[in-house]
Amino acid sequence: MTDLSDSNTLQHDLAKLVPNLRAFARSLCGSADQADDLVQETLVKAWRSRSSFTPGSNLKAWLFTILRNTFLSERRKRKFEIQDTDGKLALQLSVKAEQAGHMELLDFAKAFAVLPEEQREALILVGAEGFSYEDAALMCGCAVGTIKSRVNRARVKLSEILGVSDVDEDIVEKSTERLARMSAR
Amino acid sequence: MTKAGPGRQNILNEKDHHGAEHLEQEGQMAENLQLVLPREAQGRIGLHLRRIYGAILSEPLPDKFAELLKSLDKTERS
Repeated sequence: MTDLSDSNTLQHDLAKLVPNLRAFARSLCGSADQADDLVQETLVKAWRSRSSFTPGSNLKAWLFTILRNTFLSERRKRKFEIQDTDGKLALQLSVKAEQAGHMELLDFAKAFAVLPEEQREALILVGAEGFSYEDAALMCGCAVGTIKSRVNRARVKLSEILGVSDVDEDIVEKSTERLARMSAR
Repeated sequence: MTKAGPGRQNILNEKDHHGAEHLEQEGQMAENLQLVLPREAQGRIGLHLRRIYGAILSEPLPDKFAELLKSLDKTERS
């Protein structure tokens, strides 16, 4: 009885997180179809390895890690197309923004699309999903300072493009480098 | 922007085995970052990001996900 109710709970929790998994997958994959395949694969893997999940720990972080690892290993095997260099997540939304006459959002979407892949990922995990820098670093297998530095670079670039702040390139360069150095110690 | 701001406080609360000098550096860093990126800019970036991301979050889910989740349980019992 206990096992059954635990399973039902996990299924319920998985279901609630499908939208988040889809959105994150969309930011990694080139197409919505690929993203959905990736989410389905993630759900199956998560279910099979559910005994390795510690109840009460961060389920979303656990699932995102599985999804990310699956994506990277599939990409290595070239099942998924070459990496998403166009930032499709942003581009598809930019059309809607344009239709809505929301020019600043459109500019933002275009700017987001040209950020390096690892900066987009860091910004999505921290800025959109609300993960802590520590959780994001664990998920990406890098130092906390590296995540901070990526998020910082991404934010600075975006704010420049939106024209919301005049930034001093030198200070940005120095501060992001120092963040990365500190994390490497 | 004050030294007792939340950003600096978080950094100071982090465990750090490199001592006070390192903490001081990170504190300085937080101030540098705030200088180059005003709160208003951070706020607008966050807003746009969540809007774009939120649009995907609120898309209706294809039935295949509900079917898959149901089938997980069956696989288990067979």
